[in-house]
Amino acid sequence: MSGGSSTRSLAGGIGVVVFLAAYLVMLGMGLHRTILLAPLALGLAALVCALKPMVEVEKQSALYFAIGILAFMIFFLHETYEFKGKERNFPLIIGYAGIVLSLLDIASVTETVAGRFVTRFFGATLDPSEIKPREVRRELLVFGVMVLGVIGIWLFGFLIASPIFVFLWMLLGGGKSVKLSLYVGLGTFVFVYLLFEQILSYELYRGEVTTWIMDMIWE
Amino acid sequence: MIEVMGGLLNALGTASLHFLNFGSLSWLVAGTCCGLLFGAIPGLGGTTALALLIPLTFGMDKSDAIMLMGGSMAATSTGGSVSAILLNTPGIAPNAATTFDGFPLAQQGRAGEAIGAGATASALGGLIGVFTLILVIPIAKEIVLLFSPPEFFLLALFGLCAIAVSTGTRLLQALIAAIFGFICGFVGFDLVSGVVRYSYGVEALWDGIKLVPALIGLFAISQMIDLAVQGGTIASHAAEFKIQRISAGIRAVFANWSTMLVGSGIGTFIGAVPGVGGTVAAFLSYSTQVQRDGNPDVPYGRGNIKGVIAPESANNAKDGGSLIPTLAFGIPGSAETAVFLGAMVLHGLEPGPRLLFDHEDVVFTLVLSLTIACVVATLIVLALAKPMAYLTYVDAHILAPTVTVVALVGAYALQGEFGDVVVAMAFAVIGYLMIRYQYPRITFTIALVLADITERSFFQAMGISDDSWAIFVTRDVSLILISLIVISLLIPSFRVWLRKRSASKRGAS
Repeated sequence: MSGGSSTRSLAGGIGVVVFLAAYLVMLGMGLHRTILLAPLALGLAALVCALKPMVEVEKQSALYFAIGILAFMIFFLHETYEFKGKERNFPLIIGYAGIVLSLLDIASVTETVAGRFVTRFFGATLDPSEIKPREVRRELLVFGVMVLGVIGIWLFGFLIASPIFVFLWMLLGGGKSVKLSLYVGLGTFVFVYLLFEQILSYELYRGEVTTWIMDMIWE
Repeated sequence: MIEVMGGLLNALGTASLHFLNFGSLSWLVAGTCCGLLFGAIPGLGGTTALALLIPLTFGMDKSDAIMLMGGSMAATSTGGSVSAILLNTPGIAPNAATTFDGFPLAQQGRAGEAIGAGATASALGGLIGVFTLILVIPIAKEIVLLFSPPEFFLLALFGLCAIAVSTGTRLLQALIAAIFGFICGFVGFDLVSGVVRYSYGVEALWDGIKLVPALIGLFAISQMIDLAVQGGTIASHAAEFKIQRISAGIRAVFANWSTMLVGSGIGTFIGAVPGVGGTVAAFLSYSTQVQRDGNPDVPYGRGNIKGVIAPESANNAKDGGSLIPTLAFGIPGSAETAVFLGAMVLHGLEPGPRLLFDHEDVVFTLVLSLTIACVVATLIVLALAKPMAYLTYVDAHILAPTVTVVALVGAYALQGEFGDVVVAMAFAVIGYLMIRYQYPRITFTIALVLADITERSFFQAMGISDDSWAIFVTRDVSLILISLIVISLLIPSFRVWLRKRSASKRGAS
């Protein structure tokens, strides 16, 4: 680790301690639980700063993911304290176990003595070469298409949105020909319609816009 | 004993009646075809097939549903052997050992022989596994009576730990995934306290996270996202092999019956241990065969037909074995059986001890489904090996949108609520992130399925003991289970220690 990196780690480490202390003080003062989330969020941000220099570049996204999991576990535990008695006993056990495991997971990503120990004990190796290369841009594109597909289904229903979704994905996302995209889109429509509506007699979701239009026509 | 056998035969007779009905039999064949198809396409697998099939079973009679799903479960690994032999690409992980000798045989122009041997060994192995299940069911009934809430609680934890350990180098991440599965399982109405938890006022979450949309998202859609992100086709090179001399392969299995028997035995035993699964069974069977056969005619790895028979008989035999803990204790032995458990719950069949007593006919319907599906799958593979292999060349951008649409329709069809589509998409993203960062989805799924029974057992145990934790360490069966949990968690470090020791020995010599 270079001099600059160790300074960043040190500052981050101090930040973690400060924000954790602030959380405990605020908890003691009996402040509202939502406000308590602020020092926790800042503490996690400081943790990222502290650990980033200790992690290989290829593993940094794994570190962010592991810290994300820790944040989720803390949030879960925070929410669990809203409940009383029996309803929170088992979730508390699970929540605390989750935090311990998340911390170990974070340690396992770092190039530190603790990290090496955890890796040895749990055999928790994350070989960067085993992570298949994935373009973030491509991932966002696929997620975006999926979300648009769901919105399309919500607005226009399965029978209208499904063939359009398949057609557009193949044409724009997969670079397929118009003819092939059209055939597969129509094939999907026929399959969904025959199997679900005709054979299994389910009434598929019609969509908000389609239902509104149909209501207008009927009136 | 006579009474037990009488009850067994009675249940077997009731279950057999379903198979005389043409409609029910058609569902079995449909499930078998689906399992073969998804097994043959690398990256999809049996869990995806089951997740997609669940919505189709909503309106069905529970026996038909069990036949559809059972057929699919039994046929997956047989389908996977085809792509393993023809393309050197295992359809599912347990078929990986088949590639060692299956693909060299195909390269030598003996693909038909390898497929014949693989399919026949799969069928016979599957039958042996199922017959073992039939023999074990009466004994399992006696064993489950020894279990009470503390033992069920610990058994659930042991099942999870064993499965987490089986993920190899990702134990820590598997345990985190299990914790996450439990947390998702806490959402909604709590049967113990009667309080709605973690639903944030969203009415759709009051009943908890519905298992089927969650599983559809976690396995089917997330796999499609992964496929779409990576692009291309599933298989990388064309299969230009002649499919002939299939009968020679069938004869080879009978000529090497001891290989098949040993493989089936290993598969059944390994299958019964939660989490160890078909991959371990197949590889263990293969390595045992290599050790047993000291001086082979054809070296292993260069096209020895016994190298196909051993793993294929083991990975189909494990299906029967893995249903032993699933049916008797409600502890799924694999991701596939976890999804299957979800389907059973959907049809009002609570897995666990009561199932063996109250729904024996359903258990035997499943047993017979697995038996018939093994044979049907083999016949279909023998007839349609080559066209099946071509499925692996379907482009990701054709497969992903079409499967996603069918999966979303399936998620919606569960209860006709659009919220389920959103749940499926949310779990698809979670599933994809778990694939990307190598957090095993299997422990997440099993914890999600087991969250309810685990929490209930925990409270019942604490209730029995007046809130004393001692109840978990003062009973014989509990102590055995705690020891097993500790041992299972120490296995990875023991492995590391063994590796270090052998490395230092090698260094010294």
